[in-house]
Amino acid sequence: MIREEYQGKVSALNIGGGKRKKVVCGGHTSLPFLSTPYQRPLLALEVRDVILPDHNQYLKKIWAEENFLSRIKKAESYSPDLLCLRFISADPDLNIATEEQSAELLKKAKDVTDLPLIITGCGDDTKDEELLPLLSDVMKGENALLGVATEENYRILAVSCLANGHSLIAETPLDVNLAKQLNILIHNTGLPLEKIVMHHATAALGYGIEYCYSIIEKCRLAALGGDRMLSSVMLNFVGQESWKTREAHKSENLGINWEVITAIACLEAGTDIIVLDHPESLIRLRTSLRSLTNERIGSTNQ
Amino acid sequence: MLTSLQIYNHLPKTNCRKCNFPTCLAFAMALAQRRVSLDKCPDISEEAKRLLSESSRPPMKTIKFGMKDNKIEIGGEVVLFRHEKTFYHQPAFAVLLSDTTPGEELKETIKTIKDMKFELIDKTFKVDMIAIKNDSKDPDAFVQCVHLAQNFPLLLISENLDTIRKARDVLKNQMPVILGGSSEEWIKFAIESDSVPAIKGRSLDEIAAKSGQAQSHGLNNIILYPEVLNIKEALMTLSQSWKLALENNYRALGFPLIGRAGKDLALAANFICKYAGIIILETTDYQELLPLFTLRFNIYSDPRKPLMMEPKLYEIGKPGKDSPVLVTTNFALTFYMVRSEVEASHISSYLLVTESDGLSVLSAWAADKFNAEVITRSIKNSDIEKKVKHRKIIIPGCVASLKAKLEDESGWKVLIGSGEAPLIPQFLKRHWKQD
Repeated sequence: MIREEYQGKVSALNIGGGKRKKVVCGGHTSLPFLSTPYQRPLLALEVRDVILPDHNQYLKKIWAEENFLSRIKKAESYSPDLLCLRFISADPDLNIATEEQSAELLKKAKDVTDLPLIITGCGDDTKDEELLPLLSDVMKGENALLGVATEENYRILAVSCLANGHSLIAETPLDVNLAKQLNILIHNTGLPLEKIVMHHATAALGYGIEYCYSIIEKCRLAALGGDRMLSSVMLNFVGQESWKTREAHKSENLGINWEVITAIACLEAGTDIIVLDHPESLIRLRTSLRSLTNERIGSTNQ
Repeated sequence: MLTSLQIYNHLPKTNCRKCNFPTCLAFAMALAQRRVSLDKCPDISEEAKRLLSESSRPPMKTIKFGMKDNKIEIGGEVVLFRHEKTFYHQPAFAVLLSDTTPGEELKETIKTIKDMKFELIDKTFKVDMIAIKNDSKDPDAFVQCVHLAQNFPLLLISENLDTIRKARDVLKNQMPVILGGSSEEWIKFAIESDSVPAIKGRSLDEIAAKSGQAQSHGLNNIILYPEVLNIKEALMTLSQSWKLALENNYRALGFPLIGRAGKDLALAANFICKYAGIIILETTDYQELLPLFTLRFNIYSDPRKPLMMEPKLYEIGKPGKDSPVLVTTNFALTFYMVRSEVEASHISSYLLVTESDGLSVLSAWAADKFNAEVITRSIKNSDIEKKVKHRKIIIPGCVASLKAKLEDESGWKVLIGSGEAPLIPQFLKRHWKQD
C-alpha cells in the first residue's frame, strides 16, 4: 500500500456541546474514506416549521400530521447525528409568520431536543438577513450551524455568528472560485475558516449531480493540496433536492433510493454533512457510513 | 515517461498526416498524453518503435468482450478524477444468476432483464450482461443455464475449469469473461478459447503477481477481481489499483476491475464513482437499477461538453389550449431546473427549448444564441401555435430586455418570468390567468 502524503488538510468542525450533544466532522488528511481512522461524516434530518400543501406527498405522510415540536421529537427518535430546523414560514411569499414569531417558535423548539442543531432560513436572501440574526440570538452560546449565507447577505450573518458563537453555511452556485471568494469575504469579517461550511448548491441524481460531484472533489483536492481558503468542510441538502425530482413523486421507495444514491455520490466526492428528509434514507446511509469508517455499532461520534 | 518533445525526436518529422494529426508534433503530444497508440504512424522505424512503445502504451488497457458483433469495452481510463479530463468507458452492469434457480424461474428472470429499459435524456440503456454462478457444482446445470442466457454477454463463474470448458463450447457468438482460477491451465484455456479471464485475489499484491504471470504467457486481455469484504475495503483497494496503474504506470494492475455489489445499492454506487469496470448486481428491481443507471450516466458524462437537450417543445404534465408557454435554452441543467420547478407548481405547461449550443440562459444571451430571432424560430418550428389558443410566452427574467424585439418579431405577447428557476412556481401561480 502506498500512502499518499498531503500537505494540507480539511478543517475540523464541531457543532453543539455544553448542554447539547456534541458532534465533530472534517479534519481529514486523505481523500474520502481512504485513511484509517477516518472521521465519519454526519447525517442530519431536516424538520420544517411548516409543511406546505405542495410538499412531496410521501414526505407529507411522514411529517405532516404533527406540529413542529412533535415533528422534532419524531425526527430525534431516528437518532440522526444532528437536526436541521428549517424556518420557511417567514418566506415573504408565504407570509405565514413574521421573523419574530419564528424566533419565538425556535425558543420553544430548541429545548425539545438535545441534539446539535443546524438552523436554516427561508431561502430569500433579503428576508434571511432579518430572520437569521434573530434565530442566531435565540441559539446564543449553543454552537449551532446557521445558514445559508450568500454573497448578498453574508456580512450581517457572519457578524451574528461571531457574536453568538455559531458556524455559518456559505452558499455559492457550483463554482470553485466563487466558493473561495465567499470564504475569503466571510473570513475577513473575523469568522474563522473552521467555522465556515461550504455549500456549492446541491443537484440531485439525474439533475446535474455530476457538476456537484466534481466541484466537491475539486475542493477536497484543493484543501489537501494546502489551499487554506478552500479547506472548510462541505455540506449538501440532499433531501430537499432528491424529493423534488419527478422520480421521487412516482414512488416512495424510488425516492428513498434517489436520496441514498445522491448522498453516496456526495460522500464519495468529499462532503461531510448530509441533510436528509426521509428517515429510511438515514438508516440505510448510517449502515454504509459505519462500514466506510470501520466504526463499531454503539460507538459515539466524539 | 517521455515528454512530447522527446517522443517527437523519434518520429519521422514528415508531417504526412497519415496518423490524422496535422503535424508530427501534435501526434507526439497525443502520444505523451497516451491518447493514441503508436501504430497510427505507418512510417516509424523499428528502433523508434522499440524505444517508444513502452512509453506510449496506455496505462490501463481497454478490454473488449461480449457479443462478436457488439462488443462491450471497459477500462482504458487515463485520469483518477473525471474533472481532469473525462472517464471514457462506463462500467458494465452484470446481473448475477445462480444455476440452482429452477428453469422456469430462470427464464422469467432473463426475460425481465431483457425487457427492462432505462431512458436517460436521449439515450436508452439496458442491463449490459449476465453473470452465472455455478452454485450447484453440477456442470450440466451450469451449461443449461448458460444456454438459456447465451444471447447476453456472459460472465461465467465456476472454480471448475472443466465446467467452464463445457459452458464455453455452447457460446458460439461471443467472447465471455471467465472467473474461477488463474493457474497456467486456466491461462492456456483463456488464450485458446478466446475468453477474457478475471484474475481474482484477496489482495492487490496477489492479483499483481498473477496478472504478471498471465502476461508472461502472452495473455494481455484480462480483468482483475479483488475479493473485498466491505465498502471500505472496496473503495481502498480499487482506488489503490487505479492510482498504481495511472500514476505509477504499474503494468500488472493496468486493467479494469470487477466489483461485486450484491444487493447493496450503496456499494454499487461506490463502485460507479470509484473505479469498477464491471459491477455484479443481485437485483432485477427497476427502482433499484434506475438510480444506478442514472448515476453511471452522470459520472461518466464528459465534463468538457455541456449536456444538451434536443431543442423542441416539451410537455410538462397534461397541458391544454390555455396552458402557459415558457421558453429556455437547451443546456440540460437549465432544462432540468426549469422542468422540475414547473412540475412543482402543478400547473401543466409547455416548455419551448431553443437551439442554443447547450449554453445556460445568460451565457447564451451574451453569446447571442438566445435572442428574439432564435426564440421566434423555435416558436415557428414547433407547432405551439396550434396547441394553445393564446399568444403569450414567458421568458426568463434575466433576459427581460428581449421583450420588445421578441414581441415585434414573433407577434406573441411577452411576459417577464422569474429571475431564478426556484421562483417559477410562485410566478406561475401569481401571473398566469387562464383567460
